[in-house]
Amino acid sequence: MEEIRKDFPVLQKKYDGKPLIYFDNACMTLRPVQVINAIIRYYEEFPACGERSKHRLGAKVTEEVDAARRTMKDFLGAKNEREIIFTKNTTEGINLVAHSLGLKAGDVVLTTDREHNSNLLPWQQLAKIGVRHEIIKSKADGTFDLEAFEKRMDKSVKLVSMVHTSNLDGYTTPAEKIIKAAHDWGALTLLDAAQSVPHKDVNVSKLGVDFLACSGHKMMGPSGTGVLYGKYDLLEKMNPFLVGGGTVSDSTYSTASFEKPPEKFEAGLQDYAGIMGLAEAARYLSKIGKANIEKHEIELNKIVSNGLSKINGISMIGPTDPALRSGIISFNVGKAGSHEVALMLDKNYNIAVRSGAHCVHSWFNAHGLKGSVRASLYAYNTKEECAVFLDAMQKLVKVLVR
Amino acid sequence: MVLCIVAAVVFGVMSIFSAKYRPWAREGFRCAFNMLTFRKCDVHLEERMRAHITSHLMTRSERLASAVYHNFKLFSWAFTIVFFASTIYTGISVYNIAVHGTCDPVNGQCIFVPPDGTNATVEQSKTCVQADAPAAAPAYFDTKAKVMFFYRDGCIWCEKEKQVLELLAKDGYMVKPMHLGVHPEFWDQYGIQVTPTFIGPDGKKVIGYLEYMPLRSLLDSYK
Repeated sequence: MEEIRKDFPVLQKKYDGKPLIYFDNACMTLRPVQVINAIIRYYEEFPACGERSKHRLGAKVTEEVDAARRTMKDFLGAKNEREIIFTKNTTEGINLVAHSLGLKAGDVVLTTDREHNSNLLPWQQLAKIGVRHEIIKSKADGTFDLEAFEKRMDKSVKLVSMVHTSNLDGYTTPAEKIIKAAHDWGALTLLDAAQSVPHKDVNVSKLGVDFLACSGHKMMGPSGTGVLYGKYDLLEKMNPFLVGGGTVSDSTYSTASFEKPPEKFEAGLQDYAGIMGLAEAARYLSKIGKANIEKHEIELNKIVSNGLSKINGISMIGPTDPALRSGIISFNVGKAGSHEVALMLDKNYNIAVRSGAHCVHSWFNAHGLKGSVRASLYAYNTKEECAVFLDAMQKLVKVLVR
Repeated sequence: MVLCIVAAVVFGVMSIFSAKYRPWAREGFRCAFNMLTFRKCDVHLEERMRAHITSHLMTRSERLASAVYHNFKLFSWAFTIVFFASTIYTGISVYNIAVHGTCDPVNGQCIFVPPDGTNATVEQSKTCVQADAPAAAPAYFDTKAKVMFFYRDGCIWCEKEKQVLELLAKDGYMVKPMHLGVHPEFWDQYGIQVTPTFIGPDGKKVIGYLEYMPLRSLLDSYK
């Protein structure tokens, strides 16, 4: 796993004479040179329009985008590449479903109590037209309350939209059981897989999920890229979210004939370079092996979690077992502000972590917390980096906690 | 929170001279604006400053860093009070220098003028010699003059006024000497607050240094 570090230009640099320890992967991952080159290749070799332009450069773009779609289909385990819609990010994917599914007054959408704002606000907005948004609270130990969920399910629930792996604490919901229970009641399912797809093997066919959204920037891909997977028969019935160029085969002054999915949902000129970079990231991750990444992250998480648990004054968020928290360690240091800890780690030790509410304000507000420090690991992080982090935390706690 | 206002002012001034303070100044202003308009502060300026300072101190002494971190509120309040007190004091002193020629017109002391080697001391010693030599009374002093001239030693503007009086004396203008050092009771008796001060026979008080023409007009009005 350590071999891959040389692929990341940022990890070869020194900041104030020291290497960077990048533990902010839940927010944004670093990019390998292969992804960067894929983006450059588009701009250098065939910077043209796909689909619309029939010349050689246009044909090459179309070919590469089609290849990228096939790559993402394989990467997510979809059956048909036409089920892969390129988006800007997970947020756009969730909004697309929220606005295109045709939910109406009285329909119920269920989420967990630890949703990112991107899987909370769309449903709050739909509440204005009468759609009911309900929340399944987690158990005291931070795990998903499957019993409460199954108890709540009935015919009124039309969509179960849940986070797969939480960016708050790394906990992964039992997606298969949730999806099965939802389907038993005829409800559709949507997974916010922004934090799961980059870190573990996620197969939409095995899960049986109806929709799944993920982002490129959290899986070593370019910023501003993402994918929404949707079952083809559902996508066919849905109205387009954004309309315009690329979504129609023909139009008159008053009518339009929409393309079939996925083009129906990909309005305007696409980020071709980004799409190619995203596919390259998927190929890169597949080469490393998702199972290897997951194993590596949990191994590092155990080192960090065990180390932090031995330091007095640190309180962890989420399940105590590191194996349940992917590569995420969310914690607070005494009464110190999370931003203070993050700033001090950055300034004195070149360690980049996230601080604040991580776009899960609702959970922090409900629990009377202002935020947390979040260290999030990835394939290129090492045990040595974890040791430096723990050493830094020990020193910080001495200063910040009385 | 009050630190935001101090930060806005201090970094605002510092950013005039160095661009590196401008982001801090902007944040200080934003933070102060939020505070003054009763909005939630989203800048975390205090938190960031505390982290910045503590990080810096940690590289030298963890104990010192810890002490500063845990008493940051206390330090920031002390700093704030000192900041506002010194700002007010400096403002008053600047005003006094502009109007009376000294920071402290009552006692003749000035924080900007060290006790030795400066013009204030020179002026003081010069006036002391004059005060110790009553026999050589200046030509512009007449104990029967109508307009009283209140002055004292160590007052730069009193000395300047005497130079004007010397010129006026050539034209026969005189003032009644009212030395506040010799007669400290004059302070209360005539309600003197600063020097130089002139009081006419009608009780009209003119405070502060007067140039040649204004002083001549004043003396003319009582001829």
